[in-house]
Amino acid sequence: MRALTQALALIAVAIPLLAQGPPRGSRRPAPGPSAIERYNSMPPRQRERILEKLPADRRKAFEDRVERYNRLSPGEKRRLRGQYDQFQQLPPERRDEARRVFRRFMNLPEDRQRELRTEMETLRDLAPDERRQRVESPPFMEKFSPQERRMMRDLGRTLSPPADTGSQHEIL
Amino acid sequence: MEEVCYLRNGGEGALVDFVSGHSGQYAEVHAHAAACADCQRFIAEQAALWAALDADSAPEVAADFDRRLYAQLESVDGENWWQRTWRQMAGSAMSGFGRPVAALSLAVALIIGVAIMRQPPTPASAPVAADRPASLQAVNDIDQIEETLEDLEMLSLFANAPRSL
Repeated sequence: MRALTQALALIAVAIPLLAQGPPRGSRRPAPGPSAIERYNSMPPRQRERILEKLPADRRKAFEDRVERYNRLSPGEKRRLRGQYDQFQQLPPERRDEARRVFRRFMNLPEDRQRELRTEMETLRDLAPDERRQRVESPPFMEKFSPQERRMMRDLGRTLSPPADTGSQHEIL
Repeated sequence: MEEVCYLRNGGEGALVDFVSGHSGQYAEVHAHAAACADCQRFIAEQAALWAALDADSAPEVAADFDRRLYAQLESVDGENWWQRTWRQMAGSAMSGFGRPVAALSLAVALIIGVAIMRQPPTPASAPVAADRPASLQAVNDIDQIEETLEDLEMLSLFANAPRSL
């Protein structure tokens, strides 16, 4: 009887522990640009077999992005890989947040996307004081909606290295 | 809306069709299985079974196979194999030494059983993933390539964005 009690106690302790399974959120690490190279080196028939499973719009977006990547020069690809490695160093939540903001950006009409990109390039080249003046100016406020201004701010913030977070200069 | 698990709802047939490549609902099964460890395991086991069946031809059966088999089953004292097994187990459990051993064996067997069921499929036990280019693995890869491409596009546009505005 004592052995049976011990066995039941063992089961009672072990099964809930085992039932928890592997830790959640243990996502596979992203394969990185090498996965794109691997995709590029697949025979066309194999690529087609994979792509045919995707819905038409997703497939088109995928193929467009691969084409854009393939058009980059070797130097640009190398620089982008470096940026990608840095991005991977960010906490997963930050990466996900950056992706969410970027998807919102991609949903903007193309002319607005262009405006925002041009503006961000202009701002990047300014000294901090000049940048501040510009983003506080009435033309800037008129040109960009509050959502667009927030998008620009969030993209800069989420893509910055961890040490830069909590900047005191967010004024958009 | 909660997704219905094929395995838990009697839909093994749909999973078998999926493995055979004759599924009329490939996309649905794939979408579910990509997130369901149980269905993935079932698919992997099914694929392994098919692969084994394809690979191995059945050995030739000896002429007196049936006769020898029945002779073994209906062995001495007219006792069937299961009667003999049951008697041995019962005898062991009723003896002073057998009781704790039987109880502990039961406990250990249960724990090992649960542990095995909780194991995620390993690459070695998931031939579907390894062998089929249009399989779950390939589509998982395409998801990851898509994510990488999206990241690269974002970085190409905004990696040098002003850190603070």
